[in-house]
Amino acid sequence: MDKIQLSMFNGDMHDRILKFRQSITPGFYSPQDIIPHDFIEQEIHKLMTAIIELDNFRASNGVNKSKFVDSLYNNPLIYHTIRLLLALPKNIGLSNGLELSEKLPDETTIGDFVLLLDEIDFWDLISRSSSVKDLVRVALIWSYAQRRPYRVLRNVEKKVQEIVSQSVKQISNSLNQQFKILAPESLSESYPFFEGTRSRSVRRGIDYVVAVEGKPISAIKVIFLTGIGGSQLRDLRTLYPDLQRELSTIPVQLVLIADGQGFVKIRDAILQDLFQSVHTVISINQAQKGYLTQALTRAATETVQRLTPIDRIIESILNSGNRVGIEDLPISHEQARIELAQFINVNPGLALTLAPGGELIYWTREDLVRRGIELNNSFNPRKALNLFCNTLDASLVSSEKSELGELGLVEVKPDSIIPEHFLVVSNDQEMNPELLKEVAKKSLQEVPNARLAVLVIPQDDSDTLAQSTRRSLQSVLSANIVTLDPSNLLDIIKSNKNPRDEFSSRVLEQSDLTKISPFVVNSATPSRMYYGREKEEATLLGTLATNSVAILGSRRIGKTSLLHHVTRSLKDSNFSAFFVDCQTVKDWCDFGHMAQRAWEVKLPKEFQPQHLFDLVVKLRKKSNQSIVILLDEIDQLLDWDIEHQQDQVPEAFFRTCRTLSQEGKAQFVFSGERTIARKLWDPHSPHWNFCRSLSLQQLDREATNNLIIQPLELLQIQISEIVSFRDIVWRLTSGHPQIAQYLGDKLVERLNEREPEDRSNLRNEDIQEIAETYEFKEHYVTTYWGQATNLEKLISLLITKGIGTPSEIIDKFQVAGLPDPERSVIDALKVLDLYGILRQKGNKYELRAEWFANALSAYGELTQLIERYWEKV
Amino acid sequence: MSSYHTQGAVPLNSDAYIERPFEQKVLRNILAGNWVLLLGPRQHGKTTSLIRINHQLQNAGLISVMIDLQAMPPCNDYQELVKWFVSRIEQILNVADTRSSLSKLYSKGTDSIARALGVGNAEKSEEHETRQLDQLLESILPQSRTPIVIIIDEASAIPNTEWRNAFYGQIRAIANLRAVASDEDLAARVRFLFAGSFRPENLVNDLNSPFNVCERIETDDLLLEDANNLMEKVVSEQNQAIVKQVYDIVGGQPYLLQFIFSKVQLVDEYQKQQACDEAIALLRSGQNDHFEGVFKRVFAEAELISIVSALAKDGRINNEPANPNYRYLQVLGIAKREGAYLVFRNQLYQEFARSSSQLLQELNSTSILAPLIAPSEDVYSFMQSNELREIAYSMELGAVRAHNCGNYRLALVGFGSALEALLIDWLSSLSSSDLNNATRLARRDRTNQLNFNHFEDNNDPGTWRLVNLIKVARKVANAPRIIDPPEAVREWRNVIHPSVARTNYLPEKDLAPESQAACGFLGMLRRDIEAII
Repeated sequence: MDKIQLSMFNGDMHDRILKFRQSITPGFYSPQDIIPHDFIEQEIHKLMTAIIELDNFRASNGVNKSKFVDSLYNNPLIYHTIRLLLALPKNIGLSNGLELSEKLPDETTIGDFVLLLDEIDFWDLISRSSSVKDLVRVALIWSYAQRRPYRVLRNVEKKVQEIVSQSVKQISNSLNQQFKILAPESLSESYPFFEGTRSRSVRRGIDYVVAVEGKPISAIKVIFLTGIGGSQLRDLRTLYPDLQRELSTIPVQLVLIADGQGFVKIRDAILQDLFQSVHTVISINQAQKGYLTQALTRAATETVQRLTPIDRIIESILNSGNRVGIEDLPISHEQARIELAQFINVNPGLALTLAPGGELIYWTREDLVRRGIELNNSFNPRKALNLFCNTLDASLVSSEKSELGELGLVEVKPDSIIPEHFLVVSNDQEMNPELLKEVAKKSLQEVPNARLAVLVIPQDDSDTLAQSTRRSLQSVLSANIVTLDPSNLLDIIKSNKNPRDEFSSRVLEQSDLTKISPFVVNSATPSRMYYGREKEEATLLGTLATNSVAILGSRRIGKTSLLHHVTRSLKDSNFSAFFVDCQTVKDWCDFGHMAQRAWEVKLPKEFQPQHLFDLVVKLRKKSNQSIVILLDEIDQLLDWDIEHQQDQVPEAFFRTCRTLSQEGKAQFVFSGERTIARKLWDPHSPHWNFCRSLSLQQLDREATNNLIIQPLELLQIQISEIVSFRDIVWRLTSGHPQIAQYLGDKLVERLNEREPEDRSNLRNEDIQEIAETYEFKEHYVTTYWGQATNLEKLISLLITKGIGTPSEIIDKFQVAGLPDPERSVIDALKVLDLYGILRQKGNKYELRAEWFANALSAYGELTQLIERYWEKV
Repeated sequence: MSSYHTQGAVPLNSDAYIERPFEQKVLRNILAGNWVLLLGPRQHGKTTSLIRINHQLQNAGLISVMIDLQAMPPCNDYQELVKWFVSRIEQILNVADTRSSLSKLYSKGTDSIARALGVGNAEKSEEHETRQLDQLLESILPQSRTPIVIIIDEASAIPNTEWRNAFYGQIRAIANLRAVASDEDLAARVRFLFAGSFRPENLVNDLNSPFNVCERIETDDLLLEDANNLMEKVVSEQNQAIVKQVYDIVGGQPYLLQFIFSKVQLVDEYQKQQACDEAIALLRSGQNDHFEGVFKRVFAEAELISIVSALAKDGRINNEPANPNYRYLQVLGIAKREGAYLVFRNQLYQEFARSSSQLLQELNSTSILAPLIAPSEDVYSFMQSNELREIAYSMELGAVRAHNCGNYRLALVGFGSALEALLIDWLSSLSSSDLNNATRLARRDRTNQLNFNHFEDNNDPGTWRLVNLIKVARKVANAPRIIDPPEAVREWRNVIHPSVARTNYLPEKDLAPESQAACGFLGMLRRDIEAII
């Protein structure tokens, strides 16, 4: 065996699944499958007489009806050709009673048929084409299109057949034993007990049985999925594991040759279960590369000997909730111990415990299983509620009986998917939309902020409420309603996985993901989404011992989030930190009111700058620690301060801040944009030297990736090709936190539009397709350019075009006659640097926002844009 | 059978309603706890959708109230506005329990509410220091933990800039509290949904705007398939040829589709095509205030006029990145994006713009007969007197409507009177020394001498005749540009006297150019006076 073969069963589950995913065939269509010329020409040849006659009729001046009827009877191919041209299905009934089947209408209805052709302008239709033959050619392509998938499937089957034959031949040679492919029926002939098992339909679906020296060792099943839906998912979750269990009783190993794009979209958790419960799962490519040969070799050489009906007995006892001891099995105790151990071995997905000494196996969550079985047999809402709580290790905070059923408010340890508190309703009704609405309403009343509520009912039959209806309903409910029935609960309890993870998977499958999207696009970022900024925070905290700080940055860059975070850090470091958002503060009085309210201090009604001294004294009385006052978004207040004077002193408010800072009575952290930046850059404002400026720009690469990828991973979303995915994220955001959150939110929206089974995987194409939308490009440009002047826009365009040094830009503006170009250009470059659009490298400026040119492509050619901005400037 | 609705919102139980994709987006965002800004053209189905969204939110168990700011009564001051707003919410919620502090505040009189809100002008009372809008809302809203949605329709309808800034600034303050609010706080419970057809960046001070923290959602046109459904639902039959014809002309504009379909609905089958053609012809004639509603905001801003003129001339223009004007034209419903370009939203708008002398700023044989558009009332906002502002605007509005109906003499009277109101307002605002100087100079002008009659008071321009208002206006000094009210408009206005109309008689239909010109002269004077104020 070569290295590839050896690697098949090596590595952990994750690697195996990854290799499987990577080897899935991208597509099976060949150009010949689009237009099968041979088939078309053969068909045209067959229909040629009819085509000629139809051509003659259309050329004649008005169709002679009786002559046409005669022709229909003389040459039935004419009728067949007309049906082909009209794309009629096998049978079609018209409202006037006329039925058109594959058979030519009889004498009583042929007249109606001829009239119908007039009525639908058939003759006019074929007269407009150059020839009937051309029309027939197109119609044949359409008729073939319906058969195309079957033809492709046949090609796949043919290919697999060749691979299986090749592998069997290869292994016969290498092991020097006679391997043969048997018909699937041979299993029941050799093993009559297999006939009665419950997965007869699955067994009939076995495609090949491979035997050595006449003894079956492996069954091969080919699964080809172009998409993934509920039934396919059920097959993967239950049917194939069941089949493997049954085959194990022979013992025969099941090999699933699984391929098609449907497998790319299946979540890892489901594939993990499949890989654990089925002996071998490989793609067609893997089978061709030798993995099939390797699987057959293992099947032939492994010395697993199973006594067949024993598993049935064990399963039966366990499924009744009881323990299985060696006395329960009709074999020797020694053999029974081996059987019990092997049962656990071949059922790794089940939570089973082997008692010390190996004489007994039982469900790890035995009590819960028994209660689940009881509930399944006889549903009781109260018991169902309790079972749910115990399964998830949730506390029942309160419960009551209402018209809606048993209601319970439960408390669990929260995470990104499951909130701390949520409502569980259990009742014995059938699933219906009104019930879901009522549960959502109740949840809103009881736990208004919970985005999740659970409904436990006797049977969650997907037929009673279509999945699509349920999904669209979720989007108009105030909370995601996840439904469970006793068998779902039992699956969770019996699973070897953490019940909470199993439950989370079901939540994600049934939810409207936008309700639990962690990304925050339109308001300050909460602490759970705070990533990076360690350097800035360290600088800030280091400075505050002696100086004040002014955080400069464009809108949405994260100034407020940093201030919130620093406020918490300062408090942890024994500072007294006082934060206030000055976005709605227009003047000194507004500031006084805001401070009074936020910090609970009594201040004069007509607050004046000198009252800042009183404010600091009052704040100090609250604690004896050093005081730091954090004022967010102060541009507006600063504008007011510049325009108004107190005792003929301009900028009295901020001059007072300076005095307080220099006297060490309080330090300040200001955040703002243009106005404060201009003050700090202005050599005529030396009184601002009490502030150290801290420019806040984009996040670094690691923090950006964490900001997008970690929240997605917490939602159990797998990212294929993670390395290139990260590269794309970086290129599309250049670390801008708001753009990153917007992108993350769009990814969640995109997942939400998919089928539940298809929501767990993101690929590079997903993110690239979002980037190609006008909305994303518009958002990108507006985020960076939203506050920019026309001059700043033009300069950033020139730099995008490669004109990089300030002197080159100044020259251009000098030629264009811009007044005082040097100062204007230098000021604009500073602002563009502050906005994170540009960065200086040596004596040149370059784009920091590296995707900028791509985003601008939504607005036409770069050269034209530059021309338009020249006109404006 | 149901019927079409060309006036007001489509009722909840009507068949003539097509569900719009943006409704789901709004609903989803509100349910996810976001604030939403819903923007879209007039008569584009916003209110109809808001009614349904409100209903669905209530059905989902949220407390949801919808306030139409257009229904606000005339207010004398900000206090009245606030009182009306909070009492409307209370009224809708029907809070029987009069425990609320609002009731207590009522008992103190109307000023107390505004003081409680901290928005009074001069008086900054004790309540100012402690009570804000969020506190007041908290006091009238039901004391539960259920989320509250406040839907504000026609959010731009507060006429006074200062009040508007105060009102939305306080709402923004609630948004600022969200990041640190605990679950029970109003800031965590309340979700605002603002709707209208306005520029969010200009409506209120950008830094204090609650619109910056909203998920912005824009309404979308109906699809051809929707138009077919609309026809089928009400007329109970398909008429795809007519629907296609209408759709090609008006696109997916819901009001225009309903307008034409409503005419088609009324007649027998064999007359439907004719009814459709007549309805389209009626729209093309401009005798429907839909165009006024859509285009009047354009005429209020020179830059918008310039963009739409370019669009009319070239058929398409390059869309411009991060330029709010271009986005606003889409919000107004005039333009839509097509690749890197902006194009007219539908053929009818394009035809209208191409024939408009106001847009193309030239008169030709087509534009003379083209309908005029009255500007929005905002363009007179610089006037000092509320009454004169209302008079000038109404006169111009009446003149435009008369013009569009072919009543050019009445139009000339209206334009002339609007011009007179403008001049009275401006001259009355001058200092007495400036006014006296101008009057003195006008008296000395021998070629066009000022002569007051005994009814005219030297110091009160409100008593002057138009002829004298014009003479004095020309002599006002120290203005950055010369104000030169057109004499011709005064003369044209005199056609109100039959005897004057008979002298140099012209039949009504031939007076269209004069009417067009008077409209233009009025616009010029308005622009010039606004510039020097």
